[in-house]
Amino acid sequence: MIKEYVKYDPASSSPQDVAEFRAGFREWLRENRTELDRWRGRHYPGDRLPTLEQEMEHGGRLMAMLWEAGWGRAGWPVEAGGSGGGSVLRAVVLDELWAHDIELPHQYEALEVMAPPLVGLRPDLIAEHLSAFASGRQCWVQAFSEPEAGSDIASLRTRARRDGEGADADFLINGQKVWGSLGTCAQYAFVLARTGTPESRHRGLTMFFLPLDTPGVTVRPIALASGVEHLSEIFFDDARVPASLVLGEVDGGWATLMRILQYERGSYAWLRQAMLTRRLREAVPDVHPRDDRAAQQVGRAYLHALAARAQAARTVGRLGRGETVGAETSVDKVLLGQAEHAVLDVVRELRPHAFLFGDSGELAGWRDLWWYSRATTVFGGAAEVQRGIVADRVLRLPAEGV
Amino acid sequence: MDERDRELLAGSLRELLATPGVDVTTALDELGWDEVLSDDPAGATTLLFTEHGRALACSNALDDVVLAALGDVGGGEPVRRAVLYPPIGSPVVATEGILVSDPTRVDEVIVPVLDGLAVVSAAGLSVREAAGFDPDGHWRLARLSDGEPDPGCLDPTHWGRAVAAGRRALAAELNGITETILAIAIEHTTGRVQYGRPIAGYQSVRHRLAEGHASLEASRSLLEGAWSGVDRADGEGPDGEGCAWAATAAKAQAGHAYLEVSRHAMQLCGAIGLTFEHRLHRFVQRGAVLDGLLGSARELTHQMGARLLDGYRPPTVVDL
Repeated sequence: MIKEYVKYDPASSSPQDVAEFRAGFREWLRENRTELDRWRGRHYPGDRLPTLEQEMEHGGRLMAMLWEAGWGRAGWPVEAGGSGGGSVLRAVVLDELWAHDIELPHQYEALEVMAPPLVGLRPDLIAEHLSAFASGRQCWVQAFSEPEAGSDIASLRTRARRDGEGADADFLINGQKVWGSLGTCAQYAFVLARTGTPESRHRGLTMFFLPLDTPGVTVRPIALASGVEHLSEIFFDDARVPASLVLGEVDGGWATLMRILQYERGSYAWLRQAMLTRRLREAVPDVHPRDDRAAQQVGRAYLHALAARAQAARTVGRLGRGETVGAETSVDKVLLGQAEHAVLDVVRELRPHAFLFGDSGELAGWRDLWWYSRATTVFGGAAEVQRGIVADRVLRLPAEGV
Repeated sequence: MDERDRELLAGSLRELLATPGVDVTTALDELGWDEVLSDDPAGATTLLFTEHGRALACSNALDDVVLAALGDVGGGEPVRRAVLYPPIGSPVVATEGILVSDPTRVDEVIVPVLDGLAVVSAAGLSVREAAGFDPDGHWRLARLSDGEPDPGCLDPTHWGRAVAAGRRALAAELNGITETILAIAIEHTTGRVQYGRPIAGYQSVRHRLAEGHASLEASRSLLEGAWSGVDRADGEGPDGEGCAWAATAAKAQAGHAYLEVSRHAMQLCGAIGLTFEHRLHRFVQRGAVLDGLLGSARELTHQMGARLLDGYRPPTVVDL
């Protein structure tokens, strides 16, 4: 079935192509609904598996099924095992999965942020790794933040120095990274390290693609307040990486980082908003009493999620047409953060007793999601930083504190 | 329409709306608006009403949109009509409603009442100018004087479509108001120096303005989404429930953005912003009435929330 989609222009897909693709995917979802029930459930948070590893393995099987059936290949380059077409096709798949109450595997969040920027930058790495990543057999982690460098990422101190002379010499990486999502389940990392002088700020950084089984690399889990080990810290002790695994230019890591962050605003925001709409739908049946306060709060949370969707749709469309997106997409991140908080506050505020004391898996799931929603306005550039970017570069206000 | 057409049209509209005492319907006819509208209903309507808001214009443009959506509901002789909008906070007219058109220029007035749509003679209304919170708005309150109107005259199913069209137009007008309020606040905080620096250099000020901008952008994106459902090939068309829901969401978001930005602006512009001579209050006043017309942010948010609590599965509103 998927062979039909090879005809699509890799740069974009027309509205007709998208509508046809969506209809086809919906039909497949209907035909396979019984098998897909394994990833569905009104209260999936309650059906959580005991560990993140098990959840990811379970989710990985869905990715494998979609890859085999071809839907997971749509919107990826043919050279990498994909079936071509515009990246908008991937967004359609993610949207439809949520709309059909199917829980999206965690890996998709990493896939949608980390693989798209490599499509143009390093087609060789995409050809080598995409099929494993997109079919759930592999995961990647971003190793950017450090204990002393959070939103101010240009102050990072992890070092990468050449071991020998010449452009082919390997690099040795030393230092510590923190807050990498899903790091304990990952096989590869994007590592941003300093190759310039300590004072070089954003000019002296280089991005590496590093296999995590490299000797000298240690990954440790970090549990969120809910106890779930979503995050990780990574230590590098003379970890050797060949020059061929530099992403972009040596000392040009900032440009690679900016390229990656575009997709965090586009596809990642798109899949999060679809998830939030679904969460709100799940939260609502158990809200009692259905009074004015509840209606007001649910309506407001819904509008926040819809605003994030409308904004993400614009950016996904622009990225799909090959446009470069910039500072204006900090608006997307502001709106998404507001939606994350508003939606997850519905259960906490409208079912307060159950949220605080409920010992079912469902309530434990809601508490976990609530803690994660607080993290969303901290990672990827804190909410304050996003507002600062909008103030400086969109509204062109006078510089802060000058 | 492309960016250049939009700019040219916006210029013409600004000039037209700034003309004192202009009859907007006639002036738009002379401009060839019908053609612009049929080429790109979404772009044209959004542009007209955004400019209408920015200009603080008072006209019958809203009636034109609502009456067009009602279609040829009377079926009789061509007559000049206006719409009597429900009081703020109410879905229908009981005894009194709001007029945006000059009743002396029309023959009949369409009135949404409890059981449907009624048509009453314009001459039979008792009308008074309503100064109130927005004294420059030329709002008129009209009371039905001939006892109970006959609700059977018109097919009430068209009213839902008309309300959706009115909400899309009002959302655009509110966005024009909000955009201006934000611009006023940016101008003031950039120029105003305290403690040796522009007050827009203080983080709390910058963040409020950035949040206001984000809410306004969300409103614009949502309005685009609401229009995309109107002529979507695979959709249910302008009469569909999805389309009405999307228009409701767009109007609600436009209201929230207006409320947020005006709240910030009234604080950030300081005492001068609250004076009669400053222009801020005129936009705050107009926005308050536009937010209320055909459902305020608060009411519409509540309505949507209540439907969701009842298990309603909303349309996606925005698709790729």
